Amino acid sequence: MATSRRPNQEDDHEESPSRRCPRKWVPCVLVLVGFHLLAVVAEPLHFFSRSEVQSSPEFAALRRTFAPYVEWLYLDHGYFFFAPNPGPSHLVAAMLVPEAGQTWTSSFGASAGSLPETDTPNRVGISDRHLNPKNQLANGEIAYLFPDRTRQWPRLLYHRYFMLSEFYNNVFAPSELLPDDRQDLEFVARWEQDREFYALLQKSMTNSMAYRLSKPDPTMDRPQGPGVNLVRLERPLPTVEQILKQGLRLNDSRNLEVLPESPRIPSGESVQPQRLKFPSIPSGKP
Amino acid sequence: MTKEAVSTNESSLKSALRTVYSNLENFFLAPRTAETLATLRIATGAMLCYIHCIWILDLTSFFGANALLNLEVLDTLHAKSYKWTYLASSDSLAVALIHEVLAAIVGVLLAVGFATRWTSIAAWFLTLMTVHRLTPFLFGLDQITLMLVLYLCVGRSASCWSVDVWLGERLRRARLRGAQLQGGKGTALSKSSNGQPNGPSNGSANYSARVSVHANGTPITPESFPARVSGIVRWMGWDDDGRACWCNTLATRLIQLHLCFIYFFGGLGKLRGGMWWDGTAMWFSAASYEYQSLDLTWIGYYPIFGAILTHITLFWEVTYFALVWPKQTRLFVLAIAVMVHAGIGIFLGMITFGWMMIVANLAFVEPKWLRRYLLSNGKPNDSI
Repeated sequence: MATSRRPNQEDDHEESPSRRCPRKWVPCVLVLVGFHLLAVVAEPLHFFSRSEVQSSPEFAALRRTFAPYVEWLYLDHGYFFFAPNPGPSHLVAAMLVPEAGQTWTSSFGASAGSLPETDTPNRVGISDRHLNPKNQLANGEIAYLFPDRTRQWPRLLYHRYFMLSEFYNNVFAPSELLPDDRQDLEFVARWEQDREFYALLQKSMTNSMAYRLSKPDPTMDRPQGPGVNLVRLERPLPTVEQILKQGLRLNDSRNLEVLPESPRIPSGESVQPQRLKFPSIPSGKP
Repeated sequence: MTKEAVSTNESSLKSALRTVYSNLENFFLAPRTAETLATLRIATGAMLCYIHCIWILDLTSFFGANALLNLEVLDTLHAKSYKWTYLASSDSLAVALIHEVLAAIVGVLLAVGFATRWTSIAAWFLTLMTVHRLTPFLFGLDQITLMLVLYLCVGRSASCWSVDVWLGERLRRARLRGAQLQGGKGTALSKSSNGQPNGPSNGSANYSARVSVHANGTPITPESFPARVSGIVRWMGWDDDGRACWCNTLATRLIQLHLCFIYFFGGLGKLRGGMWWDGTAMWFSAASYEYQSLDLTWIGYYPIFGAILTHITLFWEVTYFALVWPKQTRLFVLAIAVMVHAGIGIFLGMITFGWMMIVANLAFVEPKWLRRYLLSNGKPNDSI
């Protein structure tokens, strides 16, 4: 007659016979655990111990030692969630730069018609209507914006684009340096590297956007897309007063600022981020 | 110092070291059952599947020749690092599609606990490959999900609530029936304590309730199967009898400690910011349109409430690593964790991240509590 042992649900550790770690393995396992936990803290310690003067040498050495392990296992995080302060959001707008008179249809079905030749270059025609896929695309207007919760859905997809726009802004390196900055050769070398990477990323994203916005042509290997220019936008965080007293909406596009690619304008003066001017939007409770 | 004093000091030092060693061993390696890890496995596997489905949804933007981040950029980005992925060796969309579909399927298999020993490793590896290909698109969700699946590879999370357990039982039963038909010498189906044959596992990780035995008391083990079958059974992990195992404790402790580090450094980061001190961080988080999913700007009408929420979040995060261990404070700390992450999910649009952080916090819930809670239809009868 078969039997069944009685269940014992009293404790997690008492069920007998439990699988214990073989004695001779214990030291080895504990050492490996110690190694792994050191690797986990190596990046945040290094990240936190950096200042304008230096990186703390012992944490820098720890991070260097563990670099292959930390990086390949994707443990290289500083865990700076919403820290040190919640900051402004950054968006990326793909602006069309078509040839004069060119007519085409974007991939999301917006019929563009004949595109006007003139518009103020920095005049980003962003408004709430850009969220409407049927908007007319004109020279200088936004063809594609991200993150945009109406275009990128589900929310996780939207968040992927959001992270890319933040990354694009984080790695930004201006197209030129101010004369004062050119005196510091180390700074210039770092800028050159950063600028090279930023330009590569910009080119890659521009090509991808052009492809997305183009009408695929089956006769060609790669579809011929419109010219696209990427513009970085920043949405500063509004104050309580702006939202609750002045009635500004969180998504009010008047808040968006175009971030310059260069610290200089042709006259030689440095520029401040440009605030966009939009038609007034009825204010209301957010 | 006399020789006796030196000898006494040495022996007390050795004794202290032995105590430390023994405590470490007990902390990391004392066997425990797998209910907690099984819960994490189900949630993590399902989330991995969802994550990969999202990559597939907009595949041409993430992979291929026209990806937002082409291989040249990726090479430069990873030039001085040890990040490697086979997805960076070709911009073939077909390879990427196969990879992502496979990863989504493996996520499902992990969630249901099929061949978990292998699917957990596969899920981790495939996700890691994607992560190294798409680094600029990632955020906390990917960090926490990859962390969980890494540690799930260490534990035996399939010891309960898994297809592996169900298959193992079916195989044992089939073997028993075969033995009965061939002569039936002293074998029969195992029975539970109420006299009913054991069906597919009801979720309990009880070794005793699940093991079928011959009449002579010998458990039916893989060796009881023909050699070829027993090899497969072992290889697939279908021989798991649900016993408490040291691997489960090791995996759980690693998750717990990793989570403590995340909160501790996250809290330290916030301590550097003025908004977390002056109480406005909650407002500015709520006022970020790109994050917002539900309107939380009404919090601006109640500045004291906003400041209290800010400071609770700050102090909870900084002290999490210390207060989550004692049983007296654990429930309180975990309750705040659930509220904070539910708030992030509901109001700040990161439902996936908020959910996975809540799931990760389950690592601090004892298996016995989960077992009792889930098997008594939602009536816990013990503290966490």
